[in-house]
Amino acid sequence: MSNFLKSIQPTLNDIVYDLTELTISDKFNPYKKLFEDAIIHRSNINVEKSKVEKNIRGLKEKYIIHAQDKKADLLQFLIKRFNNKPILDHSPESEFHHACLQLVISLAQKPLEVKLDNFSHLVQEQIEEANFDWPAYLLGNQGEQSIVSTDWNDDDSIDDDNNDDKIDSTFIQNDDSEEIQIESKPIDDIEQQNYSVLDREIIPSYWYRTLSDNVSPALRDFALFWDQTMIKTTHLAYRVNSQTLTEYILIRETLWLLMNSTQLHIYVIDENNQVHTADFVRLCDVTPVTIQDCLEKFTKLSNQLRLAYQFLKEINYSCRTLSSFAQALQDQMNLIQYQLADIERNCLKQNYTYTVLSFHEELDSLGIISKGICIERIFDQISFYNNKPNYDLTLELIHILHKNLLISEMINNLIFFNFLLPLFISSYRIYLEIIQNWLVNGFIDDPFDEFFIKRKTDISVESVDFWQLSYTEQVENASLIPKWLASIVPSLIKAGKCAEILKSNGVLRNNEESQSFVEEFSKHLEKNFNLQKLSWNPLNILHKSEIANSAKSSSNPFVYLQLPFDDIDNKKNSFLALVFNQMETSKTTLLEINRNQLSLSSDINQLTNIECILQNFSEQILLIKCNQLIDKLTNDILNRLKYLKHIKYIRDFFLFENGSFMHQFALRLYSKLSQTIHERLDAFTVLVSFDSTLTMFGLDKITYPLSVIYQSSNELSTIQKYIIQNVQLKYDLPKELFIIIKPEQMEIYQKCFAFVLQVKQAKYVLDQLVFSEFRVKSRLRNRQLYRYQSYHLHHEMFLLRARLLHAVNAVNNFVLTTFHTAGEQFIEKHSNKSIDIESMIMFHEKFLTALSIGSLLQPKQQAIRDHLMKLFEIVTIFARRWQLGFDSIKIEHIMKLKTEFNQTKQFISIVLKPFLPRMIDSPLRALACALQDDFYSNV
Amino acid sequence: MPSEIITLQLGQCGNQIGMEFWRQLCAEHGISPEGKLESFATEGSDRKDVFFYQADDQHYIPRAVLLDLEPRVIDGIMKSPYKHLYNPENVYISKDGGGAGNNWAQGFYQGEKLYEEIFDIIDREADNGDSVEGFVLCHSIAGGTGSGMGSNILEKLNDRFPKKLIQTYSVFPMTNEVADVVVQPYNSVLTLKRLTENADCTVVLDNTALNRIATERLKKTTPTLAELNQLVSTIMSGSTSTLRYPGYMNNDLISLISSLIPTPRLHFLISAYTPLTSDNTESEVRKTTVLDVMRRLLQPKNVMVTTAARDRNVTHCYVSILNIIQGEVDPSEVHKSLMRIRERKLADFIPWGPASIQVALSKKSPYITTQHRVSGLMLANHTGISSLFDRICDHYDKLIKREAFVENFRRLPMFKDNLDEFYDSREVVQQLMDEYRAATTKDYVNFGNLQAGQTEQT
Repeated sequence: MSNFLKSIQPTLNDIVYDLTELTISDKFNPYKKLFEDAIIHRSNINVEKSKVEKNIRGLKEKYIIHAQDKKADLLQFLIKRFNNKPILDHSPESEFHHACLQLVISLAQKPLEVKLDNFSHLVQEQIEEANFDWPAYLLGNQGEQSIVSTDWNDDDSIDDDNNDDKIDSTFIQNDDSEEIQIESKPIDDIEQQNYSVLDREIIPSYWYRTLSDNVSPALRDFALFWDQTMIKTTHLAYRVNSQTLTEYILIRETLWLLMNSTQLHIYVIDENNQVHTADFVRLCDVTPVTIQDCLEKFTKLSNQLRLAYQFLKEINYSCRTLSSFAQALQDQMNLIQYQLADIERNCLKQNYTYTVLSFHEELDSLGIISKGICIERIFDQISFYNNKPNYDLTLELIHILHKNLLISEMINNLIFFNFLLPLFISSYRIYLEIIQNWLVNGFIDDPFDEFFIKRKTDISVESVDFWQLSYTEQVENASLIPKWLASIVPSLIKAGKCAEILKSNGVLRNNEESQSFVEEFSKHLEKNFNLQKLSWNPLNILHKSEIANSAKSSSNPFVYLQLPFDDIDNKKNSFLALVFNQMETSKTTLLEINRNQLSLSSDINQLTNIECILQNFSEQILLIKCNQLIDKLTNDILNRLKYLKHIKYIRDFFLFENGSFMHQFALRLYSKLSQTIHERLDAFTVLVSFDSTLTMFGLDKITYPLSVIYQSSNELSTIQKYIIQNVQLKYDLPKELFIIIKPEQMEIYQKCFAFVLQVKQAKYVLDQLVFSEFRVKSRLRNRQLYRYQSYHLHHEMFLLRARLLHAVNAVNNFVLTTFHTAGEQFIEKHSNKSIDIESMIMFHEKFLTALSIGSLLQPKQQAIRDHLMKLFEIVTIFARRWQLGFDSIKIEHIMKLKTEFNQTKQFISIVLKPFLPRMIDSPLRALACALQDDFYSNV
Repeated sequence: MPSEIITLQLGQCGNQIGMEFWRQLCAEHGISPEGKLESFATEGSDRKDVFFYQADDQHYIPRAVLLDLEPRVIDGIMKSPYKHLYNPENVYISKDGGGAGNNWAQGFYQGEKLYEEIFDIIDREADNGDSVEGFVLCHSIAGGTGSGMGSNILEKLNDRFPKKLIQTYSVFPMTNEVADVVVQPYNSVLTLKRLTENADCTVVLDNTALNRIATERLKKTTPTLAELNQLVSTIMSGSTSTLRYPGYMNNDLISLISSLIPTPRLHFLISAYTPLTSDNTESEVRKTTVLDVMRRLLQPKNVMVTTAARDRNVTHCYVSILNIIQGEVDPSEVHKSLMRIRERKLADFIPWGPASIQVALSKKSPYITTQHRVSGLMLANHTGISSLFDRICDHYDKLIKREAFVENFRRLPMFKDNLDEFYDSREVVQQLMDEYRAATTKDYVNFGNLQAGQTEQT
């Protein structure tokens, strides 16, 4: 024995440490001694593995019935822990293990009675469990104890001796002689006999829910005693189908039924998991109708609660919303279970004697009946099991919870309301978390595809289609989106996109956000509903748990309660102490919670209804946050990225808005072209012209945002000979601005530039046709010149020049005025304070449309454009002739050009004619007017 | 810098209006009388370089050449706060200082004599710019220096810089009263010939009209010379504002002028400005819109040339119009205004060619506060200008008939042998008037032909 003792010393130390959290000291040793004794004592018992396991199972069930799930889990863990420990090498393993287990079992056997404030008390009580005076305790009456003790067998006296060995042997004896003892009991009549048959099935099932014989003899004895005593002491007993049921039994069975126990006597659970009142109860003619009614109601309630239990058991935690909802529902169910367990305890202790009717009233007053109805409604309206996509399911869930919340508010049912609210909040909070994440981090963290807005992954934030196509609403039925949320969805999507852009621009930082929507939301609700502080599990815990769940989805939903003993490595983790302390919730408070809530919520201001509050929340918190983000992007674009400055540059460079630089550059090209009559432009000339313009303005080539490209083309057309082409500008636009100015839109600017370059060329060429040559000649030949026949030829040229100038000026005015007007309107729109990214995109598109009208890029304008090119060609040819010298000009040349010009102009005028009578001012109308020769006289 | 313009100020009148012009330009560009950039003007996007260049010490120096045959006016300038503004090398006063004595021939002769010295200055100034676009000449056509030396310089400029634009701001003498200088008509006709043949563009500033405007619009009973000069400088600065404040259109002088002038001779432009304000009178114009401004510009009372709407059975009309609108203007207003002008038939145009009212929008100087949102300047080619020439010729004819006062001219080489230059000039002016009159009819398209035919007949 001493060897054995020695060998178990470390394990003992472990256990004592685990249970008491004491370190090795003076205080430690008495406890250790206590355990040592207990083990020595237990090791003498011939414990069989199967027996111990059965006990453990029974105990677990018992815990569960009493809603002590944590303890049940704890027990499970404890056993696992010991089973996994190679404690002793030389001693038969099972024996010691089982002895240890037995100890643990006895420690944990009385879950409802365990008071954990004092360990010594706990230990004492557990050790003394075997010789506990059950009758005295249960009847709670010291006076009766003696009377009852006389009815009880001799074991009582042995118990009093405190001799452990003897008690155990008695137990074993009892086990053997059990049947005989029961048979031989002096129970007076047949009823008792019937009941004694009954007890084999029912009584142990109260505790173990098993009909096995191998239950702990002491407990079975207790059960037997209990019923016998109660039958005698309760006057409310009914005979049913030749069986006697006390109201007490009815109530307790009902309690266990409601606590989701499955094998019961007076209720039947069919294969569909539907509860019915067992026939023998319902059919009993002597059972009062009221009680039958009550039983029906209990059945109904049980079925309602069963919906929830079934849901919690079967649900696969496919998404966070569902997990969160399930957790909230579990909490609600736990509350109900606590309340039921409390009633049971009161029953057991007989602090209060319930009748079936008063029991029903109690349930009603606790709101359990109403909650049952609520649960039924929810599960009636939504099906969780038919493989809907998560986003639809989530939306439906929120929708239905919200709808029911509104109804409950409308009918002023506060129990409904208080039951539904946490469910609703916990379901809705995932949306909030996602939105929060989205707005803070710029991406939708939605691995379970539950959010109704989806990010299209194939469109990157740099993509040109980002703004239009990146986010979509994925809902089958958009009307399910709650009104208060639907109203901000456009802003939300906009803000989400902004967040993503800001993130990719590196403006958005994660840790900037300290305020969470979920917190805001709960604060909001607390304020409005006088709720106690709502506590939220952080999303990441939920997230972790649901990852665990997705791995083993069939596991018990309670598995994600965070048990501190998971942290085995922590030496200081006295798991038992911790968990038991956590369990230490005063039962009265549990009962009071709902009552308090009822009284508190009665002073809800009826003016602030839930819809209002949600609306306010959306508008005051979500919308403001959205708008902040949108503003932030706007600011980023306007201030950091200097969007308008770039637009100004683009206007200056591509549209010649600021005359100086581009004008000079163009002049260089034009003069080059007019010098080399037979040569076309080449890349070298263009580059040199550009560089020399830069030099002229004292600009640094490297830092200047503009560069120029000449794309030589092999196509040779007549027009190409004369008209400047293929000069392209390259402007370095920051990538971040592609969201507004898409790269392909730069093409439009490019085309505008090419067009302006051509128009200006035509104007330049004509402007250069001064009369100096004529003047020189005039002076050389003196006044005679005007009298020569040739003057008429010159006069024709002068007049053609004037006509060409008129036409080219009209086009020049039209193009540049259109550009300028569009630009000014564009800038003016941006001075509006309410500008945001979306309007910026829109304004820019409008701007581009105006530009493409101005540069005649629209498909309908192609004919005009072609003829303008023709006009420019005529201009160039005319200018060449002029420059070649007046003497070489023949009247046929001039006449030919004149005819061509008239035809071209006529064509353009005809095309533009439809614009003339229009009352709306359009740039094309202005052009049409300006091209008319007799515009001011022909009214 | 590109498209520079060199200003030549000739004679008493030319220097006086030139000085006002520079005073105005300095104010508009935020340049102090000493040529320093004011602290508030450092960020401007204006193009000072068209009319100024920067000295080594960053002072802004006008591209101006001040010429006179007598020192009085230039001395006045050199005693004014602007004395340090000009490049002293560009100020040339004839050494004998005797002036031209209101004699065109004297002025022309002096110009001939001083050619080398004057063109040393002008050449240097022209070389100073990257690509000089042209010259602006300020002078009067009635006196001696401005008209005579001006004529000489015009001819020489044309030879020396054949590709450069020559624009003149020419002050025409009063024709409605007897002038101080009796030989005014001679001087005028002689100068007019050079203006016709050697200038690309002449902005006619009619002293008669200037006086009328000063009296009527500015409510001055006896307008001073300075006030008249201020009117001229307003026109000058206004007509160059698009060059100095670059915008989306019209960035050089030629693009402004080219469409105004259809044929070599028809280059005499009338001008108008509204609203006119002076320092001590409150403007009577309260509201300025583009339409208001454009309408007022077409009213004869605002035009700086007194022209007759009809003379000798000819109905005069506009050849072309350029309106320079300054201020914050929505371009769409322009088109609307043009439509109104059309509906109201506010302007008669030539029947033979395209009618055009060019509108150039220009920024206002940010450093000058004006009472008006919009102001406008019109430069127009109007056939009615011929009536002004007609009046001058009328006076000329009366004088030459008697060969009055020609002795002063005969003393100088040009007229030593004969008075052919007089007759020649008179003929050139006559042809000019004829062309202007011809331009009022549809037949102008055949002008050369017709004239040739007529000539052959006669």
